[in-house]
Amino acid sequence: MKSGKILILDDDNDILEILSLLLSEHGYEIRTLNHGETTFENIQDFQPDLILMDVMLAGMDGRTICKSIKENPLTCSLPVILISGTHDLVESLHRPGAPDDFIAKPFDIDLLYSKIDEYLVA
Amino acid sequence: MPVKILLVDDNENNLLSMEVALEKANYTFFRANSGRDALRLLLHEPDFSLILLDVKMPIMDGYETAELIYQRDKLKQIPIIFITAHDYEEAAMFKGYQAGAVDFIRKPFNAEILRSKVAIFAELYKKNQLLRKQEEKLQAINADLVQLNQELEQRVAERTLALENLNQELQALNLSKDKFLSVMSHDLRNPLTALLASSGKLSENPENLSPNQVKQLSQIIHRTSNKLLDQLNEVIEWAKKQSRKTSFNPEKLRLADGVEESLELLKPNAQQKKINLQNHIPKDIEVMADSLMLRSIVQNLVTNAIKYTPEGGSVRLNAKWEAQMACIFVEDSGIGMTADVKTHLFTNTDPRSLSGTNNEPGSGLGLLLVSDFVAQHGGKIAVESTLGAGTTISFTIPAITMDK
Repeated sequence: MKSGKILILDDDNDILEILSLLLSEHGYEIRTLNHGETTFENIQDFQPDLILMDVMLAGMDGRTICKSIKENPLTCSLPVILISGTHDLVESLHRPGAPDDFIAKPFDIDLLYSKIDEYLVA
Repeated sequence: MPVKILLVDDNENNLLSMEVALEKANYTFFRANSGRDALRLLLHEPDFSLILLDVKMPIMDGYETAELIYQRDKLKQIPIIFITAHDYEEAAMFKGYQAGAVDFIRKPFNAEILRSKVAIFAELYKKNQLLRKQEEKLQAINADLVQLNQELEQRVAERTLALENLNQELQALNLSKDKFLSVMSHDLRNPLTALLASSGKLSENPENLSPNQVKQLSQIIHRTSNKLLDQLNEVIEWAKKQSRKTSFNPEKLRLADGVEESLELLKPNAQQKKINLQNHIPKDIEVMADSLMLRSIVQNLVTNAIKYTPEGGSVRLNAKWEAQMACIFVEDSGIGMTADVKTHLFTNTDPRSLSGTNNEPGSGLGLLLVSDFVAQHGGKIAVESTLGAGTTISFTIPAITMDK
């Protein structure tokens, strides 16, 4: 069993539920948010070890939230993995404010586990 | 036009002798015995070339008469030669020129001098007439040019408007395609992701899952499947709405114009293959057709004709009346087709399309669309083809009959 805390942001409650189920079963502690408005409050309150976030968040862009996390000295070392169904994010990986990694939708469960484990074991 | 001369003198004998002196020159004479008489004549009879005016007359003399004549705008152009018995006194001559005289002749006159002076003014008058005619002609030509120019501008404006409308239609179509893509990729991908992850987890090793987890996963699967079904229905509704937009709207069209419009876009294709594209459709045929469908039919058929015609060949369009219908022919000098290909042309049993003489690709959908559109007009398609010699495809659409 793994250990660590993951904050998941997605505006689709079904995705939140299945991710939450998959990852808590894998050993992680999970908190879910279906909007991006209180991201920083939740980071402070929950103190996650990793953030898993959809690019499309009802009215907000996950990439913008990711950028503000990475530009904030208090949160910049927090790993962020973006999930996207429509955006090809490979080329944006090396820009300033970019996420640490991304996963395409629909995702393979084992790939999801291995990507997350990579950041939480280290 | 005859040269008309007005002779004004209070003495009949003088009038007669002037006429006699000038009679060989083929002039038409009008006589007046007084200034008042002369004015009356000038107002009734147009286009005098010259006035020979006696200076010394009772009641109203020549100078006064000339002054009254020149008060009329219409008469200002007529030259006046004064006939005078007075000696050529400077003061009298000046008075004469001021009144509008162009020349003086002394009485008793020398017939030779009278003839030559009158001849000069008659000639001048003729030349003026000629110039005026030419000017009128030039003005007419100019008016024609102005009108032609206006017509051209009008046509350019109409064409521009049509293109702008088409552009808007295409943009709207593109927009709805973009929307469709976005719906397909985002809205369908989310529930599919949840569905795949849940079912994947369930099928992986169910014996390790608690009954509660199994229940939770099954619920997610059920819920997201329903969501997918809803979205599928939405997409189908949307697609239906899109296809309703391309409904059948027949209108009265001049066939030759509608076809010419369709050919515009294909001319570069034809030129590229050095194919002679000709529109022989009679100008007087009018049809009831959906202009967009007609365009699609013609463009598909002509594109095919160009495609299956080798370089340097020709594609001809023609049309004729056939009962209540107009029959349009697209005739090419191309490679033709075998009887087998011909029978399967409009039945989509083999969606593969033959490539053209320059290996142009095809979707195999063009002729299906054509036969659909022709059928919607209540028309028929026919094919005649000789392998190696060419193909003629004809179709009928409702005509507006001439018998009115």
